[in-house]
Amino acid sequence: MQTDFQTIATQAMQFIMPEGILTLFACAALVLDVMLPRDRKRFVAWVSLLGVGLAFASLWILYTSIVSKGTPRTAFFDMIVLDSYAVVFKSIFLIGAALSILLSIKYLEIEGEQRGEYYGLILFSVIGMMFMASSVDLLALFISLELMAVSVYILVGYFRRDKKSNEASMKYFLLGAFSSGVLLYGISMVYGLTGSTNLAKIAAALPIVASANFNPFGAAAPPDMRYLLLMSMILMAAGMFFKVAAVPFHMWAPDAYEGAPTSITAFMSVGVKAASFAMFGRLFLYGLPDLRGSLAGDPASGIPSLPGWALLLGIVSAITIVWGNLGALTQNNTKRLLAYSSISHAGYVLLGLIAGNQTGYTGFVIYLFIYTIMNLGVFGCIIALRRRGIVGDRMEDLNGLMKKAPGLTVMMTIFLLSLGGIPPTAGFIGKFYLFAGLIETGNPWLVRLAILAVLMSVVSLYYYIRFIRAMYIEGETEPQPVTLAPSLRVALVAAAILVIYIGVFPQRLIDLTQKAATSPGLKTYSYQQGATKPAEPATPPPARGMPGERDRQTATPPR
Amino acid sequence: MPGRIQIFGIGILSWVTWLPAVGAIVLLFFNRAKNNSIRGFANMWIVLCFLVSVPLVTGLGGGRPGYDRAYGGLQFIEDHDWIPLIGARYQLGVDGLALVLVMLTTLLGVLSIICSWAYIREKGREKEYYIMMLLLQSGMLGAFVSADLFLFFIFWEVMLVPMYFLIGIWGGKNRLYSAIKFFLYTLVGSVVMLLAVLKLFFIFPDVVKAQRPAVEATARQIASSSIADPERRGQVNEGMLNLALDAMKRADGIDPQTKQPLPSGYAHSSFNITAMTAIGPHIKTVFGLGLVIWLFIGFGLSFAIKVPMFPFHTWLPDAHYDAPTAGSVILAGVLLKMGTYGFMRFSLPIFPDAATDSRVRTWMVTLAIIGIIYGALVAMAQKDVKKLVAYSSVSHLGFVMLGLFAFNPNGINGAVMQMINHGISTGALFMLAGILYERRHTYEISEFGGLASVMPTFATIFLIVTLSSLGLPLMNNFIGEFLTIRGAFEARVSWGAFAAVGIILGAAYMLWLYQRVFFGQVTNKANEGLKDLDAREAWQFAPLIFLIFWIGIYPKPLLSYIEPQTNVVVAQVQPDYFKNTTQRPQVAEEQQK
Repeated sequence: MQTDFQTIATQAMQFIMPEGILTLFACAALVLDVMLPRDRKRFVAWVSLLGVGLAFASLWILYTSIVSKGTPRTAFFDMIVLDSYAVVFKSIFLIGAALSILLSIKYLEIEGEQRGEYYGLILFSVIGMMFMASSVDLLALFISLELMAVSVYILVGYFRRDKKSNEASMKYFLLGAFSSGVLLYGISMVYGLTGSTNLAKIAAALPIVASANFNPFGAAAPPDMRYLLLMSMILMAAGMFFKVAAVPFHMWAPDAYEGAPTSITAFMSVGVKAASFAMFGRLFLYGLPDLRGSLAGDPASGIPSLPGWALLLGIVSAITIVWGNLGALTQNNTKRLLAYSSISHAGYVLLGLIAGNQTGYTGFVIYLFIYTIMNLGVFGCIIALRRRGIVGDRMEDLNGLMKKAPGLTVMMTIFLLSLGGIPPTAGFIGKFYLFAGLIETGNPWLVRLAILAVLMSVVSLYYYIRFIRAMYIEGETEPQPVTLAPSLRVALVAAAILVIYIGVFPQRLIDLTQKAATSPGLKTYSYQQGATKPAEPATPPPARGMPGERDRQTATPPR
Repeated sequence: MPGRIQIFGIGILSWVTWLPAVGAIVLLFFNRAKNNSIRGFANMWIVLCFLVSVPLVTGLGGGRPGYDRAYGGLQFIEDHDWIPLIGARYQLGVDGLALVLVMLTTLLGVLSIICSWAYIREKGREKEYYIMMLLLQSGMLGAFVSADLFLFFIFWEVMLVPMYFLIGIWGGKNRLYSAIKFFLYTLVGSVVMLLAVLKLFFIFPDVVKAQRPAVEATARQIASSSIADPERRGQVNEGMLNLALDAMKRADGIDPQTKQPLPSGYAHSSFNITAMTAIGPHIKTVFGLGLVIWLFIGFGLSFAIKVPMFPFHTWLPDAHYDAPTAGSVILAGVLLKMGTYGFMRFSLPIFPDAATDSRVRTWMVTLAIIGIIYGALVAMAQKDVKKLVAYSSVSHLGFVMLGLFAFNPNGINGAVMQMINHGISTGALFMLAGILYERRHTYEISEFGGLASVMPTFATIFLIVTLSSLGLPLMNNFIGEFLTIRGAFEARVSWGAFAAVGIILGAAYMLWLYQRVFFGQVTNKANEGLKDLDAREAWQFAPLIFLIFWIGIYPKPLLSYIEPQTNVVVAQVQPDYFKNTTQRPQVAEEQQK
């Protein structure tokens, strides 16, 4: 008995090796902070970077030795799962964290806030993110979410003497706490309905609970539990919408992004967003797949069928894309502008979940991967503009940059074009996949959604081009030179090369993300039933273009 | 024997496409203060790029033949793995149509870089300028030589960025507005096209599975109907056919090279353009006409904006007006051809059922005719040389669209001739306007007058180009317009009649322009001491003037490149056409099989 427990425990610890390494290094960062003299604190950054590197290495070992071998393994009594989905997301967080640390070093020195706890907090939030990607239990998910969120609340208010930073932190914290409460409320209702916090068990119980005639107590007039189920789904979705900054829960984003230290804005615009999406995917694809389409009613007893979360997400993503892009048009503060742009990107990522096929899920993962790199790149360029006496977050600060720093300008251009989805950059591959997912469904509403989304990406180019215009065409407005710190240069060059490389040779990344998107448990959905009939009734519904897809034959009533 | 040239183991089309981009990368390492070496290098490099494209026509000796006109179809095919997971391949190939456009592009590339010698020295930022020009060149050439829709789309979008910079940085007064307008307008079209491309990609395997024998027959017919040589009738362009058949094998989930099932995760579809053309006529039977029309609109909107057709033309005058001379030359000479090329390469052959649908056709022809007449009338009202030429482009491109939608060999041959001719004549006109601007820094027509006496060489060249542009016999435009109108008459008399009105208007505005700028006395003092052309300025027109007369007097060689591709298009959109004539019996035979 004891040996059994020991083997289980060692195996489980093995599975959370990267997180364990990070925890050690995060604690070390806090301790080192106390020990080092004031002018040597930069050392902590390198230590944390080493920690991230080691965590990445152990993640790689786990991937090659366990995950790529086949079926995913669970640990800690099915709370943690180690599958490709988790591994790819974890690598996104680690890449994001490494780049963010590199961006921060010089920036914090200029601001006079170089302290070890900063890096410790980044590592702690990354640990939270990594657990968010691999938890398959509502409680574990919630705790990891809070670990991430609390660390980030502090980081946003990290410039204690800066009023804006304090305000941002306060706003973010209050709204964040509120949304966590909403999420928890939804979680409690799901637990009450299905009797479990384990996502797999919830998914197994759903078909029964979601049926129109579910009558656990044998009541004469059965209560329609579907409304309660939908309510809890909506509450959970609202909590997640807040975390990913989707309209209508996006209000905190521009203020928090503007007020936070730029390096933290960069970190949270990619890390927090990607982690929340990882959790979003787990919750909805893994835990609530049966609530996607419409919930069947019972025409015989006059019970109507109800729409599922695909409709909710579709509407939210459409509004988010439109609102984010239109909001960005009029901004003059680059951080605020990028906040709106990141809102719109959240809308794009949602498209992958809505599509419900392997292509869409691949797009969902690949877009977050690419978005992390390109968005960090853009913020890195903005951080480079922070010099003595210049904050560097106004559009005018970019004026005439081509003359002062041509290398930086070219890299910034690459990142911006990538955000706008212009080939041959990585952003195009991401958008390509998301739109491909929608088009592949063949559902007329989703095709309309895709049309809206592509047209809005044209709008987005209008404001990305504003940066380019300022950098290349406008004349210089202030003469101070721009120099790149070595750490920043490394981060930016690496990001720019990755963006171009992925844009031209995306094969390996697609392969990896496709594995993540086909992780067992992420159920796909076919919109073919219930969609309008094709012209030729004689031909059977043909197999779709992308292989490996197992369309689930759910009983969707014709509309 | 189909053309096939390799240099150092790399296919010639890759050389042609990537050489300008390589030059751009080399330029990155130049010291930006050393303007003379930058300029010298860029000029030499672009000439080298042109020279590399010449063997496409002439061959390279030693068993490396050039393009075989009598064989037709795609040649110089290159086919490599690129992103197998999404079915995109690095496939290049040119048919006669693409070949002449490639040659036009490389030639105009040289001229535009040479003609910006002085202008850019004055404007500054030469390093960036030449980098952008070379990148633009790569983008355009890539779009013409792609045999894979995904690759084509990438090049198609890549072109926009350097052009934005060319207009935005080195342009005229309103350059910021014009540049962004150009960029966003064309981008709207291309993103919608992306969705249509995706839809086509996803329905490809379905159509292949449902209509296998018919699709294969169409592919065979496409690959054989381009063979013009009577002795080789009935033969098939193997390379082209294999591309299509490989794509169909991939749709079945079989790797054509290894004959094994594709690894898991690989897309069971293809972006190959020939294969798409092969499924074209059968989409309707599987998915219905509605989808075909939507796809046609998806592609057509993008191309119509690029052409530009009538309601989408408003970006053109602004972009032309504010672009630097070289930008205008490239814009008029090549970028607009992208749109008409797209119609001829994609919209017509892939969606014949939509194109021949009477509603669609009526709309397209009506818009083309409106473009012809409206463009001409607005050109007549312009007070500015460059804007006048820009609006004349709208009118000329209307002819091209009319010719394409006539759906007969005359019309389509004429349309392609017009594409080339417009590139030559309008390119030359923009270069001439650029010289006027370099002298006087204005394009206002009323500022000039009596220039014939001050700048005689300039006036002579301008006259030749003007006459060419208005379609004087023995000059290039005459051939194109004649064929187009003949095609239009063949299709419907009233269309031809409207087009003829456009020609009269064209003569009117061009001659009136010439009269106002060159005839009479020099009234404006500023014009009195204007320098005539120097040697560089005069000789840069030599190739264009040579082409103007050559095409005008002996168009047969050019036509022999175009015709095979025209026949493919006509066979797709009007399969019955050749049954009634004895012109191309082999196509009719194929039909009966």
